[in-house]
Amino acid sequence: MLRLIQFEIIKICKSTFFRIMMIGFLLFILTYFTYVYINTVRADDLIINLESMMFTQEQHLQELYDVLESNEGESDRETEQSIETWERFQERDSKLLQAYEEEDWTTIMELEIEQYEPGVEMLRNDPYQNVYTWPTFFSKETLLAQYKWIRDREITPVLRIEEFAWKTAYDEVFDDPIGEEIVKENSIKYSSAGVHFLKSVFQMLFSLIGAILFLFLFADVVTKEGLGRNGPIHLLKTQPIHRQKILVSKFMTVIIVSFMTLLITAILSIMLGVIFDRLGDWDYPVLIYGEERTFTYMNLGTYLLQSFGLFFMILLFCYSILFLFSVITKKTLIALGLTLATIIIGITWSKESVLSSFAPYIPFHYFSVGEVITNELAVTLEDFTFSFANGMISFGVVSLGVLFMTFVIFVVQSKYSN
Amino acid sequence: MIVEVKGLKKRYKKQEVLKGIDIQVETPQIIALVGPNGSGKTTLLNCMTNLLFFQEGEVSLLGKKHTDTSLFYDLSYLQDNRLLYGSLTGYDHLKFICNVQKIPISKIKEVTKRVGMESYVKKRVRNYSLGMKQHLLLAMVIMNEPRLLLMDEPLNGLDPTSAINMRKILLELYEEGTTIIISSHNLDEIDRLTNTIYFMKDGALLKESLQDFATKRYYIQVSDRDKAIGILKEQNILFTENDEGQIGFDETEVDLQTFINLMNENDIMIKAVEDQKIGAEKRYRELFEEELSS
Repeated sequence: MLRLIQFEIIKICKSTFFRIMMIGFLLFILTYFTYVYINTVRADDLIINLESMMFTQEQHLQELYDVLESNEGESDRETEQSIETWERFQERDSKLLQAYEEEDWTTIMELEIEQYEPGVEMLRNDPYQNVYTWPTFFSKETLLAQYKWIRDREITPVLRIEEFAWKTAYDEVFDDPIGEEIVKENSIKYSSAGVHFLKSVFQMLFSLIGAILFLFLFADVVTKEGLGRNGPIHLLKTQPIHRQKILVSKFMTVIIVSFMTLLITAILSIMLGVIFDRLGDWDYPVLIYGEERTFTYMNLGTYLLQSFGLFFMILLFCYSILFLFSVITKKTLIALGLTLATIIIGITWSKESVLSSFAPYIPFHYFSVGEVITNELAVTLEDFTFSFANGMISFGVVSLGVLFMTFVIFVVQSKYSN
Repeated sequence: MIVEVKGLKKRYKKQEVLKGIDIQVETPQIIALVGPNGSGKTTLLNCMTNLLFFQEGEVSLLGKKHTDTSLFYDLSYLQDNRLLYGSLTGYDHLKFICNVQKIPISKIKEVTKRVGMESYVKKRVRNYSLGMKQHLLLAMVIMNEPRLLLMDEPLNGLDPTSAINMRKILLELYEEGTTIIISSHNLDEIDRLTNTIYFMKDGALLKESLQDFATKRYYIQVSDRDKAIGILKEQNILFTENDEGQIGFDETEVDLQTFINLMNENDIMIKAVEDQKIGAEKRYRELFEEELSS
């Protein structure tokens, strides 16, 4: 079996189509990295902003001092209070600036928590908590928890870290369209640090588009053997190899090559980050929604691993459908077309059957990897049985069923080959 | 028994394409399968190697059922070059054979040298000419030094040098004890390889072709033709008469010395002896007279 797999891997890796696709994929990663690198907000960018803000504050303070001086000893309580407030701002921003210059993230987090925590605590027991309009209490609470996580673990945060750069699934309504635009724009944070860039790549790749890309990559893995004709399958069939192993080895090969492709993608992404920026933090917090507006944070390493695992199961599921149609139709384009049609129809249909009791066990629900792992899907569908575990189980069980069916058809076809 | 095919029948839908084939090969030999296109030669070879399903009959090769995949350690089947992978090199193909057949990789060098494809073994197959592909196919089937070698049109696309080389290799394999069943349209090459030719027509082996195949026919002029004919009839020896009054018989009916002795015993004088080579083409012409005339 191993020798057969080895031969299949050589066949795939030496095919011109595969090589072109791989080069295209590599170029895509490099281009995407360039985009992410350009869009990464760095401490220097914030320092410039802070300095400019402090300059404005200084000017304003100077104006207030001038007002106070022009009063020539007369008491002006209002101006004095204003000066005190601005001086507090000035002092905080000065500390913040110094911390940014020294990249002292713990201090920065302390300052943010110090400023943010009292407001959140005040709202905690408020019976009229904001639950729909940004920023909801949930967003405030999770942001504070994120700051604490970053501070406690002495992690370098992905900038920006202000409130307007954070939104959650519960922030459905915005007070004004400009605010909405700013929040939506800033809450998509880019970081060219290795593991953070890997997260961006995974978020982009681990979707229906990514699955389709992989399906194209291996579309002809079965059909190119010329099943039913005097194709290369005859070479395999006239060797001391059990016929069943031919199909199994092909499936294993597709799985192995997919795994290797994803692994190389991951290594390349991290290396690009390390070379041009830094490694990043494996324990960076990723928000996981809980039932009844509870939440936890998962470290980025675990999130990436789970993403990898779930996408792998998606591929397993897609390949099993592709193999079934390849064995039945023996034609590459028809098999690929039927596979894509099945997946797209399945996803559309699953959205309509979301209220049925078996809906959480329909694999078509779980193609948005990130939303599944963070439970954003469960929040959207208001059903926490749409979980990562159920997604994995659904993909696994259905794939095995389809594979078994494919295997039986292949064996029968081989036996009664015309 | 090297090859035992009993009552093999194959149907496509309602059309019977193999009509009860029986073949028995007990000792190593080279057997040629000859017949017009569509006579069932490739189908027969494909059924024998389990590439095609057949409805009736039994096939046993080298003492094993034809479905036993372990058979392919000792059996090789040279097929259509469409089974080659264009993106792979010849070396990749041979290495694969080595791996699955548990043959040392060092054998590749020996075999490529023998076949004469050392210079291009590491090139991609998609850049091969038809002849180069045939070389590779030959190299692939002799890697495991098979005891039984089935070949479907191996001479297609070969230039004269390559054809001579292939014939040399096949004869060497035969001398080493390999039984070769070869399907070919090249009757001249067949003549050079073997005298055992199975002619196929409409999915059946022609009965005549299963008898020993004479390579020579003698034409004798005798002093008393009528008496000689009477003796031959008495001895149940098949013979022909030509316009020149000669008596003709195949070497398989009676050898020349026995015929002479028989005539001498009956006081018949031999006046002249002529011999004529009977090639595969002549045999084919006799058996497929109808097709040729139409």
